[in-house]
Amino acid sequence: MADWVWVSMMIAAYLAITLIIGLRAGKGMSATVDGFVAGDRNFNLLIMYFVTGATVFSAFAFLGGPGWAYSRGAAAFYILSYGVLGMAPWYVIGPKVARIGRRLKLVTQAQFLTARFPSKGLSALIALVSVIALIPYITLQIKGAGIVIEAVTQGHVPLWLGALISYGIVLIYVLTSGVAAVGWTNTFQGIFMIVIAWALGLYLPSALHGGIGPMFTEIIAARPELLTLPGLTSGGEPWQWGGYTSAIIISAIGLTMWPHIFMKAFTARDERIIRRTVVLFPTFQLFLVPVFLIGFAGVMTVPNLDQPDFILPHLILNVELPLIVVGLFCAGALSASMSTGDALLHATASVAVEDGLRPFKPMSESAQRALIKVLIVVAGGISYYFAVGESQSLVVLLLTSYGVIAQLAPPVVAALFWSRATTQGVCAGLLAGSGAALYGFFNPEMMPWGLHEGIFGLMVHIPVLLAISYLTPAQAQSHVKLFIEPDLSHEVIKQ
Amino acid sequence: MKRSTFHRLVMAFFGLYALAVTWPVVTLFKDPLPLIFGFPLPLAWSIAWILLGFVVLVILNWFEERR
Repeated sequence: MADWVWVSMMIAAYLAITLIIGLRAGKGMSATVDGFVAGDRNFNLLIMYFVTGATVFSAFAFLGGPGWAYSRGAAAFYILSYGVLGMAPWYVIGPKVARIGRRLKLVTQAQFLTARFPSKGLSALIALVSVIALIPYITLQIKGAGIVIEAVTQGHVPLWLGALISYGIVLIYVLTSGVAAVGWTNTFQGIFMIVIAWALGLYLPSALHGGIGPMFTEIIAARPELLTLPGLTSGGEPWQWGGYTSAIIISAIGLTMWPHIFMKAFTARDERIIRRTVVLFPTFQLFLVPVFLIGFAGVMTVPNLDQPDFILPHLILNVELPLIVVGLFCAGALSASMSTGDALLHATASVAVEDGLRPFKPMSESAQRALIKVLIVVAGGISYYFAVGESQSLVVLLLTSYGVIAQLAPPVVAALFWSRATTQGVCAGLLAGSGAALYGFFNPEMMPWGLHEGIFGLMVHIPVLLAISYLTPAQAQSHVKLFIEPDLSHEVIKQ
Repeated sequence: MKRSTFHRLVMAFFGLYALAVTWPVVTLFKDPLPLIFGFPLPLAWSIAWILLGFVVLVILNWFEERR
């Protein structure tokens, strides 16, 4: 039997296991929106840990990580530097958001923000920002899955078919089991990703160069500029320090503001679990180290690869690995793609219904649940359409969406810590900040030192938020207290 | 140690972390040599901060849960 048939069979087996785990997860979950979106707020530590880790590290990390290390060298280290910085504030913010969410029965980020800053317009604006940021992200995951399957089956299963099958399975388990499926499948996929990444990250440098030290010595001798900070741009020119530094800052700020990550605060069983997830997060971050080693292993072995994102599949196929390793790699990469893609699809549809539609048109629980399911399919369909079409600019769009998503940080911080913030101030700040970020994106020549446009957005956003808030009447103290001091205001809510 | 003092120390640590991995401090660690455990200096620097961050978070959580 041909090699690619064996590989296809391994992929099929892996997908079948994922599907079974996903379908079994929904049993015993209540049939309410709370159950479908927030998993009855009953996730334990093991699941929370892998859900967060597997969700944060996507196909972008598994294929894009080695690609960056391979083509841009030290520039990739920015990805290592922002994760823990971005996650640490969540130790304080996460439990606070969870406490407020449980008391006010919130399931989305916009509900949380509009509870403090009541405004239908704000809710719709957040929904719009979220969906615009999430769709290109989903598209990348779907495309990643398709690329992997096409590469390892040597083109026998084309991108469109591989993407269709893998995301067909994602749709089936997400529609059947909701967020519970996302939890259990991500636990399985998270473990899988880590094992595969470390195994390949240690094996490839030693198989190709005789070890990690000798590999780097070889690269430094031939191309020292690749391993010197801040690394290179995608064009091979030296990257600017402003670009490197602002990429770390904007990514750290944006990290927990992604709706699919923020909403996890509403699924945790208790606050201790959220805190422990934050504590354990750095261990997941180290997963990027082997991912980079894989990319570096290709530098001297495969010079001048046209599309750097293909470096991992390329190495896998060209170093004559045992078939089982190829199959396992494929499963690991699919894990990365699907474990992020499922959470993203779920978040996109929930946000669109809960925040974009419901404030304007009241609907019953069952209607809402049905509509979320319909929109999961719609969001999947739109993303699939972009994934199989020509969509080079999507990577660019994703980077821009980080700048837009980071604009949700000032409202969240204001909601929790600043009593003088007003609804008008938050709306004006969000509009001005997102607008400025988009303006910076379309006029990159205006950004000094290669500054990320999201930083420019925040520089406009924060003064507007402060100024307009001070110019408009303050909110009632009793209302503000619910958010600033959720512990003390407990009795007020009970009455 | 008082709880608020401890929290301030943790915040100061993460402030230091942010400074250490961004311009201008990180320029002190921009050159690939020497190799540390086989890793180029900038990579080893990033990894060291992740490990430090992990240790600080573990201590913070131990402190909080003991309360």
